[in-house]
Amino acid sequence: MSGQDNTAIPETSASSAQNKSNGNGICFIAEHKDGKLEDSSLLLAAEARSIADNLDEDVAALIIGHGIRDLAQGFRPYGVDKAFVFEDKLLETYSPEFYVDVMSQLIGPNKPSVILFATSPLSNDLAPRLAARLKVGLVSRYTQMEKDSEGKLLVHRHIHGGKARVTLTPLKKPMIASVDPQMLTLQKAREAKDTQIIEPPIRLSPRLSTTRVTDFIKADPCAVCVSEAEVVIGVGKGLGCAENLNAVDELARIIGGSIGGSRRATDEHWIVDERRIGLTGKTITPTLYLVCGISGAFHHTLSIKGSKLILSINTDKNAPITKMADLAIVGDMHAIIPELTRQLREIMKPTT
Amino acid sequence: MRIGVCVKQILDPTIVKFNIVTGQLDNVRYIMDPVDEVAVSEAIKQRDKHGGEVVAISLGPSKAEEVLKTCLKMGADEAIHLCDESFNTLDSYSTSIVIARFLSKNRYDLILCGKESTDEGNGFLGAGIAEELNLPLVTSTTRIDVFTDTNSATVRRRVKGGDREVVETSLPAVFTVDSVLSSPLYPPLRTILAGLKKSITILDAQALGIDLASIEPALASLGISQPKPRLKKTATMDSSLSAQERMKLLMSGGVQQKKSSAIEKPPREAAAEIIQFLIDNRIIVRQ
Ligand SMILES: Cc1cc2nc3c(=O)[nH]c(=O)nc-3n(C[C@H](O)[C@H](O)[C@H](O)COP(=O)(O)OP(=O)(O)OC[C@H]3O[C@@H](n4cnc5c(N)ncnc54)[C@H](O)[C@@H]3O)c2cc1C
Repeated sequence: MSGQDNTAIPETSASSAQNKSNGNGICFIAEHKDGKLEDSSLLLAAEARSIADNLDEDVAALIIGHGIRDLAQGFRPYGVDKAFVFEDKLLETYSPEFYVDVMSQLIGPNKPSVILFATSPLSNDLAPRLAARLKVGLVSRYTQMEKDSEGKLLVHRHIHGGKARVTLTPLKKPMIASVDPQMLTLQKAREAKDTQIIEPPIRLSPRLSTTRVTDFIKADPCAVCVSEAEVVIGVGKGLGCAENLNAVDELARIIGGSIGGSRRATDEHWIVDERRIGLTGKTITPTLYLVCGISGAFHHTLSIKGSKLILSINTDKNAPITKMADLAIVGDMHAIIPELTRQLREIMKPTT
Repeated sequence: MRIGVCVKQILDPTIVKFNIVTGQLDNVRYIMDPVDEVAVSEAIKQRDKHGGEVVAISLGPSKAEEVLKTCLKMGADEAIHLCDESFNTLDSYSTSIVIARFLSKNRYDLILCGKESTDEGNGFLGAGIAEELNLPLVTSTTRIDVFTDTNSATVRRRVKGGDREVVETSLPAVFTVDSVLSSPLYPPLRTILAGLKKSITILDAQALGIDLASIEPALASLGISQPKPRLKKTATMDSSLSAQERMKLLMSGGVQQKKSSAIEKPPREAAAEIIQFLIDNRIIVRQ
C-alpha cells in the first residue's frame, strides 16, 4: 500500500500547481431544475471552494442541460472561478448516457483533482457511471475531505452501517466523490468572483443512448411505502383508538404524508404491519418525520435516524423522542392535529 | 436466458462494533448482503419464467463460499467463486474489472447486482461492469419485465418519494437492484437439497487469465477508525447573507438548530408554531 501512496503524492502535488494555472482543480456538478440552480448546488459550490482553498486549487462548475447558460452567475458569491457549460436540446431530459459522455468530454485531458456531486437520485445514478467511464475511484457520501501533513488528499466515509469509518486516498485523478448536501454549509467565499464561462466544443452523438425513458409513474405520497416517503406521519400508543386515525389521515392528505407507526400501533391493528417503523419494521429516510404519540423507544428510533427533520407531538415533555426532535411540541395530539389541519387548509398548497 | 448475479458476503451491520482499544471490529458475523439476496431471488424468478440458468458470482476470501452455498440452495444453477490471495485488497474499481473479465468469457442476457452494498454503500460495481463490458446500465430497479422475443426489457427504477421511471433497454444489460425489487424466496425442500449437491467453481487470477498488475487501482485504503459523530457543519450566521440565503442556510442544516427545550402551548399556537417550522424548512409554501 505505502508504495502506491508514495507514487500518488508527487503526482497530486505537482499537478496542483499546474491546475491553479489551467483552472480546473476542484470540479463540481451543478444540478438544476426548471431553469434554476438547486440549493444543493450552491452548498456544493461552497464546499468545493473550501476544499480548493485547503488544497490551493481553483474551483470549476460543470453545468449541462438545456436553457442553462445564465445559471453560472448564481455561483458568483461562492468564489467559483470557472464554469464549463454545455447546452443541447438533447439534454433537456436526463439521459445518463448523454450526460456521462458530455461530462467526460468537458473534463477532457485537464484532469481535476476531485469531481464533487451532491447526493441525489440523479447523482446516485450518474457519479458511478462517470467514475467508471474515467476509470477512477468513487467515494460515495464522504463525511470529510482533508489534506494530511504531507499534502496527501484524505477522504473519510462511514462503512458497516456507520459502525466504522474508513480513510481513503486517491491513486488516480480525478477522484469522484459525493457528499450529502444536508451536511454542508452555505458559506460565502472570501471574495466573490466573476465566474468565467467556458463552452468547449462538444459533439453529441444521438445514437449513444442505449436506454430510453418511456414513462414516469408519480406516486401517491399518502399511499407510498413509508420507506420511500418524503413526509411520514408516525402514530403510536398515544393515538388511543382506531377512530382517531381519521384526523391523522386528513392531515396526511393535506401535507402529502404517508402514515406509519410504532409497534404498539400495529399491535393494536390501528395501522397495517407493513407500515410499522423500527427494528422489526421499515427504515425511513423522509425529509420530515412527524411523530405523534410515540415515546421514542430505541427499537423505534433506530430506524428514523435518516430523517432530515423530526417534529414530535407528545403529552410527555420527558419522552425520549423530544430530545431527538428538531421541534418538539408538548401537547395533546388529538387537539393539535385537527387544529393544524384547519390552519394548513387556510394557507397552503403542497409543494410535492 | 443466462443470468449472472453478483453476491457479496458482508459483516452483519446491526451487530458489528468498532473496538476502540484494538482498532478492530468486534461482534463479527458474516451474512449475505440482503440486497444481493433480493438480486438472487429476482434472478431465479426470471429464470423460472423464461428458462435458462442463474450463475451466482462472488469475489471474496475463501469464507465467501458460504454465500455461494446459500445461492445454490436458493436455486442458482452455478456458483463461481473468484478467490485469490491478491484479490483481498482490491478497491471497488479493480473488483468490478475482475468480475467483468469473468463475465466477458460467456454471454449473459442479464447481469444483476445490488444498487449498493450494505457494508460499504459505494454503489460502483454495476457501473463498473457495464462500462467494462460496454453494456446498457439501469440503476435502482424495482421491477423487471424481460421480453425474450425482442431481446429487450422494460424496467422501473426508483426515483424520489416513491416515484418510478420506466426505462426500456435492449439486452444484454446490467441492472442494479433496489431492495424493494423482489420479495424473499422460500425455496422448496427439493431445491434446497439439490443445491446442497452442487459444487462451487473456484477461479483464481491465473485461471481467469488476469494480470492484476495491468489493473491500476483507483483508491488506497489507509485503514478504519472509530466513526466521528456525523455532526452537521456549523457556521456562524454570515451577516452579508440575504434573508433568503439565510433561510437556505438554515434549511440546509448548515447552522445547528438550537435544541430549544420543548414548546408547550395551547393547540392554536402550537399548530401555528408547527406551520412556521414547516414553512421555514420549505416543507410547505404559503399560497
Ligand atoms: C424485540 C423488539 C422489537 C421491537 N421492534 C419495534 C419496532 O420495530 N418498532 C416499534 O415502534 N417498536 C418496536 N418495539 C417496541 C418498542 O420497544 C416500544 O415498546 C414501542 O415502540 C412503543 O410504542 P409507542 O411509542 O407507540 O408507545 P409508548 O411507549 O406507550 O408511548 C406512547 C407515547 O404517547 C404519548 N401520548 C399518550 N397520549 C398522547 C396524546 N393524547 N397526545 C400525544 N402524545 C400522547 C405518551 O406520552 C407516550 O410517550 C420492539 C420491542 C422489542 C422487544
